[in-house]
Amino acid sequence: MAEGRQLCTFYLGSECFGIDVTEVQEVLRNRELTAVPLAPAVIGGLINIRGDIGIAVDMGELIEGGARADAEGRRSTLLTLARHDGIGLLVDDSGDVVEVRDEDCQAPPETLGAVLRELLSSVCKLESGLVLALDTARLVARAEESVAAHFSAFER
Amino acid sequence: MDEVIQEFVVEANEGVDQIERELVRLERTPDDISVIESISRTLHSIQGGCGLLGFGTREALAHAGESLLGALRDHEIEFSPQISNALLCLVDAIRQIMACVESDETDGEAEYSELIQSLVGLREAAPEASGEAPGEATSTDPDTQPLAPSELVSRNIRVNVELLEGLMNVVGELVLARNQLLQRTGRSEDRPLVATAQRIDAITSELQERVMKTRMQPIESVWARFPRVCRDVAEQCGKRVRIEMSGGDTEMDRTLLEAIRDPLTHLLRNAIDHGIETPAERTAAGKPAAGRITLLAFHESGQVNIELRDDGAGIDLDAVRQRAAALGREFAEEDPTRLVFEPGFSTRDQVSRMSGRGVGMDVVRTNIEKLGGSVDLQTGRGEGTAIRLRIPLTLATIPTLLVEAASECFAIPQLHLRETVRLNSRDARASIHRMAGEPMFRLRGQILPLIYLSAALELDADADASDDARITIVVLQIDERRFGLAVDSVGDTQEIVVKPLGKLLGGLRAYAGATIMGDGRVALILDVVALAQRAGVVSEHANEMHSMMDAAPEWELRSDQLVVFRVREQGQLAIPLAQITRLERIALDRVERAGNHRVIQYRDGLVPLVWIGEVLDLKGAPIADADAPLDVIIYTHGEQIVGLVVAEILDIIENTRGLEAREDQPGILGSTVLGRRVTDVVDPAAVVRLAALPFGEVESANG
Repeated sequence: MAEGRQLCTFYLGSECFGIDVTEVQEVLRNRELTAVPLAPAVIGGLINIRGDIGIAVDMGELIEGGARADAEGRRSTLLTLARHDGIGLLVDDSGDVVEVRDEDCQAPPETLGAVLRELLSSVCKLESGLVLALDTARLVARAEESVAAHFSAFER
Repeated sequence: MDEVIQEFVVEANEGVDQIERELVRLERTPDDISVIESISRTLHSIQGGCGLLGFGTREALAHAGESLLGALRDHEIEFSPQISNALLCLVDAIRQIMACVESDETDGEAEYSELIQSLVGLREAAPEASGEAPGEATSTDPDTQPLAPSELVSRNIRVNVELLEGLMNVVGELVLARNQLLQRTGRSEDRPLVATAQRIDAITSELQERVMKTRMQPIESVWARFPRVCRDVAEQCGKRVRIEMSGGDTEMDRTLLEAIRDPLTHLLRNAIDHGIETPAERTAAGKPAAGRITLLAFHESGQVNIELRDDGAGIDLDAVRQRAAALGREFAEEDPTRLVFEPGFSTRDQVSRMSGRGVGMDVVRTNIEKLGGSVDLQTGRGEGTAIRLRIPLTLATIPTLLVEAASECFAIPQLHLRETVRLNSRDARASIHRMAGEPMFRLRGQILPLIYLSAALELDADADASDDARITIVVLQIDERRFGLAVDSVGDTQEIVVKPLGKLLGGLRAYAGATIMGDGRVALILDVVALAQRAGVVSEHANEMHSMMDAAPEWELRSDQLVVFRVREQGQLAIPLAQITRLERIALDRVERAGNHRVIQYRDGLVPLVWIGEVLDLKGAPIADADAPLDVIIYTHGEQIVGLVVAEILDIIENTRGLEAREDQPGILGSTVLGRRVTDVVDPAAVVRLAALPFGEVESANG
């Protein structure tokens, strides 16, 4: 049996992304977000997770820098991360957990922008369609970089 | 690990920490027998423990140390740097051994025969003159006397840290539930229920305070090692450094303490290695040969502030800028004091043995920001550098005032809060002005800067455009500076739990953290100091604005300023501002009677009140507002203070026309036109005379 892994999938617009299922703590829907004025757009807001403060990273902003901004309605689903305390990914909708085999996956093609390619670990072909598998650590790092860049532009 | 062994390791480590502190003290005061005895005692119990647990070889080590100390105590030998070094090596050796015990329950393989030999050798040596200690430590904390062992045992017990964490979490949930309970019972008519809710409120607060204390430790416990670190590093760098610590009793959550231990240590090493100059360089520069490092800690706005300051050479900011340019990054415009914290920014080309090549500072900042804190740096060429860490007090509660701006809710720590002022449109128009383009508002005769919160947070850039809508102003004070924060509305005061914003947002200075409110929503806690700094209200450039404002009172006292007011429905009157002491607004219930006259208690005296409208013969209907507070013009009549009551103080206006003098009406000097209305100018001295107050005739100020 070929090596494989499980991906937790989610949607931004009509595109399907996935992260390793072990990276996801839980999926929360329709939680109220508190905006953080002065923070960059990549910060979707703050959320109450059982008495602790969680930061929602707007995936649409992170991945495409706002290009998907014409999604109807606000993003309403949050995937909290198991290995990054207090951080959650804000997406349009969550999908199923899918099994992918290594042989179905390949390196991201050049046709995708460089920005996106850097965040992907691979592109997987499933019966239902393509799933862009993301590298969670790089996602979080990218979020941190965006925030840092935003601050150095105007704090002090 | 076996519990007994575990206990022993913990106690031995504590003992060793104490010995180390005391050794550094001993270097300063080598004749202090009580210190020597204390070290002996501690060493003796460690030795005993070793024997008990079968670490026989280690007994020899402790014994050698003890007998050396005995010789010191009995004045058989003199204290010297060599003895000090040997004893400090002993301390390190014991720590190493304890580390082995902890990890595999044996006392390790290391041989300490050399150390034992040198200890024995020193014991037998002839008395030597004591050399100069390479480093000194002073603590300005009041009580650094170690407790005798028996006292320690009875006053403290050990509790598993996880137990405490669990307890804290449960209490945190109780606080949130208590807030929700109060929200609901606040509107209830059910008396017993409300009473019980209040009782629960009080108990919860106390419980929380006490439980929090279990997790809070004074920052001293991290600083304890610093005198030794300072001494060692100074010695290795060939420098002389004094370290002073104050605010060591400032408490922080223990997990935070652990997290800042390394960053602080690194900053300290850095300061000695790169900051403080060699004694020769310092003397040449006219500074004392020994450098000085100051550590300061205090609480502010729900955060712990830790400052490490050195009086060394400072950071060469030009070199930093050049390096930025050389690295070709777009940092050219950036503040060099922030660049210092970027990876790769050390301006030294050689790797320093102590702190590495620019590796440290960015790690320091990252670690602090992970805790939700921030790091700042100030430096002066030739003067030194000050680094300040700000870390939120997790799990601390602070009382706050909830406010709303642009439909978002924020919490303002009560610490800086002075009062709240609500102005209707007309009062707003009268009180809010612009000086050099910046909004200001008038509060009881004083002019204060005004910050619009929704503008400051970039929620609504036009917030300050209409200076005449209804407005609510929260008056804040930082140090000596007061200023106003304009918000949409003010809510309740609430005791809230401060939660850090987390790694991603820790660098955002506008907020001191976040909290969960009674209804479960998240609210941001404003860092009013940061907001004020950003608006320029407190900081370097604020000095300019402030000297303008300090000048303003003079502007107000120019003799052609008039205080305009009403006492009748129609018409307005004025009194020269130069003759007035203050403008006050007084609640009706402060008015009392003394004999036949109405008075108020004001500044430790009784001040009679005179209703101008009653004393002067004026046409028109008096303004009736039975419940409104009184507008009072405080006037000093010779030696007597008198309160002149009017219906409403309208404004302070500069009179650019002269006065048309009149003699026909007692109390009225003449008329002018102010704000396009004819205004009679009142002579306050005449008013007081007319009121026939019982304190007798006094020469009026105008003679």
